[in-house]
Amino acid sequence: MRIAACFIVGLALLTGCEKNQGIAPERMADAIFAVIEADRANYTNEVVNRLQNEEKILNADEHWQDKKLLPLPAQMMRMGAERVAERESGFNYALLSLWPVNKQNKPRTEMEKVGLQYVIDNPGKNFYGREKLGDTEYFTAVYADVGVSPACVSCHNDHVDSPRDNFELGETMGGVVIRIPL
Amino acid sequence: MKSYQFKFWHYGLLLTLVVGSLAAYNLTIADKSFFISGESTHGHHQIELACTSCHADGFAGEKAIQQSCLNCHAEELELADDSHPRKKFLDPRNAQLLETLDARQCVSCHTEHKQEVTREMGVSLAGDFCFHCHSDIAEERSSHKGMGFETCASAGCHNYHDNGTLYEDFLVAHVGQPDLLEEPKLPARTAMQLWLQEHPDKQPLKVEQADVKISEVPVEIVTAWAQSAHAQADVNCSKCHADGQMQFNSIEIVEQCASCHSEQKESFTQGKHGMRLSSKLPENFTEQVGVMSPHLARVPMQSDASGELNCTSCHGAHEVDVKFAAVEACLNCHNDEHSLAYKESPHFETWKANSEEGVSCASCHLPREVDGEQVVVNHNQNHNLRPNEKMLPVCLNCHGAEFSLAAMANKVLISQNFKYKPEKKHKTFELIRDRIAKISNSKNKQTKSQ
Repeated sequence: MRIAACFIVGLALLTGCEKNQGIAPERMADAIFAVIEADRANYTNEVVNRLQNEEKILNADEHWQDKKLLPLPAQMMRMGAERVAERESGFNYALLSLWPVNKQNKPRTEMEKVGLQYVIDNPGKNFYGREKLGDTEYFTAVYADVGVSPACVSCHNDHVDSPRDNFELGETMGGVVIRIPL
Repeated sequence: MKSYQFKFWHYGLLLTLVVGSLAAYNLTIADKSFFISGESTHGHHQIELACTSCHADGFAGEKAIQQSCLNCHAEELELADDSHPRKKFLDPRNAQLLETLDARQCVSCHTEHKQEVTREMGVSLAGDFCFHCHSDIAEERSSHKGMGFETCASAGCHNYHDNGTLYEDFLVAHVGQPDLLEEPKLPARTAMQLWLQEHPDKQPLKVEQADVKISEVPVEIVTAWAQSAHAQADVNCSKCHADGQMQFNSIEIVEQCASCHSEQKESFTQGKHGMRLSSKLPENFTEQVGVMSPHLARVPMQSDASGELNCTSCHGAHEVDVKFAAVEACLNCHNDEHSLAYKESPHFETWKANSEEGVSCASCHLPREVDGEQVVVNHNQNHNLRPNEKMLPVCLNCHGAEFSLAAMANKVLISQNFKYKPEKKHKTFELIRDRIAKISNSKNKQTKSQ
């Protein structure tokens, strides 16, 4: 009888702990990245690369509204990030690079610099860490952003403001930084 | 009988009651003017007594204040493709920058009731605010090396919000244009043409077809109506004078006109002329304070300018005369240097020669905007003055961008109403030419390496 009672109490405690723990930030960040990466790859390949580079129907351009063209893949992703931030969804993300065309997208915090270098030096691996920004501590994850289509590579290599002109298809061109407040 | 001995605290209590009662009366029944903490900006002084429009209930906090700003200005910022929208600063990586300047809140830069520190565009920050975040700009753009902070937001270079005609690709596309284009022409208004196309069988109404008792109405009124666009478009007297109402106040006039001209009313109530009639203000506000009148303006007005500002102030009640509204209506009130110089300007010469295609006050200040197949006159005369490079799309109908930008950046020329041509080119185009050369060199290198 005592053994049965201890077993039931132990089970209840374990169940309670699991409920309180919720999802680990690392798992949550990985899941968020999976969605971001899938959408980003699809837009780049199936929309921009197809219409601009293959079928040559419609280009992507920084000033897409004025010129009635497609948003650049990086702008498309930033629009999503800004909408998520406006909705106070409980996380933030950004597309950064050590060689950005727009210098506002170079790493700003120490962890961004370390994380971006890590995903370049360690293909296939992600970077995880914690940092304090303002009054808030964040779980910060950095994922490699790989040039998945010729549109990415040619645009960055040809842009007059790009610090590099020798990117190759499949190379890590930057990183997606996801932050979850703790 | 023993006289009552007043003690010191009795006087204090009495004084408190009197002051409290006066304050309560002013706040709840009168115009709330006791509670204005300082002079309002030129953009808000017409509505400064509509306290709740900005402050909500007074205790709602910064989120509510921010929302109040957006209630009136969000659409304009959206149209301008705001270069510094709030959403850009929500990423936590900006935390350090926000400690210096919280760009998420409009009031960080535009504090109201602080006239002593408020500059152009209602900016209440010191002029070096760009520097806080962009001090390293010369590393990215070597052409900007040595430029002072005061040059960032100068006319023709950059604006904090609206860079719709100042971004690099736009300027590259417009470099080298002649001062005066080969075919200078404003977009033609389309409302009447579209109506005539849709109603090919309708004939203009004549005096005898007026659906009022002509004998009871002054003949000049009926004659003015019969010669107007209204008579041409089958709009008879009863369309406005429904139920026999013959006299209207300003609020009723604007509502009546808006029943057909809603877009015009919308833009009119966004500018200083019609702001007090905006539907975004508290109910009954206009009834309490009245509509805008020339004597309330902060810019110089003619001493005999009077009356209330509504649609008929410029268009007339029955003439609906767009020619009068385009020049004389403005000059009947405005008495500043720029307005007074108009009749000495080459623009006025074009207007005298041909009022259909010449350049009037309205050509620039009430711009004709293309919306699909329609060309609609924007009745917010302040829209393209905040800042004045926003007028560039209007200028570009007739002039090249280099000429236009140089003119818009020249304050003396503006006060002279562009009587002369700008002597100097704008520095922006010097930088743009260098940039074009850099892009060209970069492409040549790529071609050689392939």
